[in-house]
Amino acid sequence: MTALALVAPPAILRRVETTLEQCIVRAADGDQRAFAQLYDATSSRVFGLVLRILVDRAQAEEVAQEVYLEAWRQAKRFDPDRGAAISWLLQIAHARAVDRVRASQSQRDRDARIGVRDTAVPIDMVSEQAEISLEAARARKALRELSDPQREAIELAYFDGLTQTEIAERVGAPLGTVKTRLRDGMVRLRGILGVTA
Amino acid sequence: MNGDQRSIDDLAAAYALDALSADERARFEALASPEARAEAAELADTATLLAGDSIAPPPTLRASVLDAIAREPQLPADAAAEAAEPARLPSVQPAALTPVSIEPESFGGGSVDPSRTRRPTSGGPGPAERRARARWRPLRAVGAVAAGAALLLGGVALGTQLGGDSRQEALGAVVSAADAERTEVEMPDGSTATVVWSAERGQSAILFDGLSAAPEGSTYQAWYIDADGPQSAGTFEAGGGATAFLLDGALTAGSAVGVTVEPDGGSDAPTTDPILVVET
Repeated sequence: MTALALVAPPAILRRVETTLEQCIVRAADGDQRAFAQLYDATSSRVFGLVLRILVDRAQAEEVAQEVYLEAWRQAKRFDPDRGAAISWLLQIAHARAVDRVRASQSQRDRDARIGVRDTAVPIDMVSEQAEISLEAARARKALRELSDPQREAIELAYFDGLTQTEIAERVGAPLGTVKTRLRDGMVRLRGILGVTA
Repeated sequence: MNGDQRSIDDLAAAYALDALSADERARFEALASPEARAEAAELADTATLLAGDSIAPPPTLRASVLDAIAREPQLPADAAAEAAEPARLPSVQPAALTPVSIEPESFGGGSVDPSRTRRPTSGGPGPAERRARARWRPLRAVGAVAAGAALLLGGVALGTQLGGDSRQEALGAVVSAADAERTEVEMPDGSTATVVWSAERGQSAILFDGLSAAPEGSTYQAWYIDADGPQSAGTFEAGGGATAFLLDGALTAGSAVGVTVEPDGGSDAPTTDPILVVET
């Protein structure tokens, strides 16, 4: 049954993630081959996220490089007991991509960019997609279980890099309402998706 | 929980989504309760599940990354940061202000040594934008609490120097002041330090990420340096972790902030070359 397959993360994914944590631990000792393994296993996910946020490929490549450079610098501070390697990397990637969005574009450019992205990217992503991950399918399914306003607020934050204040302006809702939507929506998602690691 | 605390803790989900303005983020990192930090860390993990589908980067990126790391030093392990939440990392941004290195005899004079300026890690935004970003991002570096203090999952670590709520609040007030400015510098031991100051409040703080302990029998001492020479702004310790030091005394316009290594107990005037000097 499809639903079952979506809910239970296959054992093989867990095994891969264990290896990723070990890669970072070895990279922390300066092992560049271990870091290359980490790159090979994660670069498509990191690039997928960064490109989704930035849209522009050249910028996405620059930011992806920054993400791995930061991961290399910070490798000694990664604690495998406290979280999954992929979560650690994707959090770096998200913060970096959002930084870039906010720093490099005027508001007007950004609105135009988001407009272009909303129409152009789905086609792009279908053609370029290397792999549709189970996790992404689960997340999409989970997002559909949220209320429309909750989903909209979370997507504007996570994929468009808007601040909560900008989201409030965009959707024409009071800031307090947007905060509540973000919080209730995220808590609900956590309930549906469970905790990583 | 009072209303102010709740209004800060309510930012946990937005923090986890990187959906706070720099100002709000600084407030959350400085002032959120341990529970709110733990929630932010968990929700940040949840958020990564949204990351979506994989798209292969161009093959050239691999070579470029591996070439870059071969030349990039790694930051030292940080026991305190490891004990805290590992994912909130310093997003190192170059400072637009030029930090200067001055010799003891030139205290108050201020000869400029641009070699202390942190090199940019990439191209990108111009100086003004970099400065705007540099004002806040390094706060994420303050990732752990020094030994003995409560662990704050998900973000900030305030050091032992910040004993008591009023010091914490004072630090939070400086970093989130509307006119706060900051400069990041590389320390002689390779760690990074961020000096943040608010002219309006007349206060400044230094956020250290990875500064190693002062040699046996010595301590770090901060100074405000103006035309009259250096004035002590208190002593502090470091232990390789993330720590923040709020300087004693008042910052006056045009003063520089400096740090030297002094004999235990501190000195009336600097006796060694400064390891950090930043002009405000």
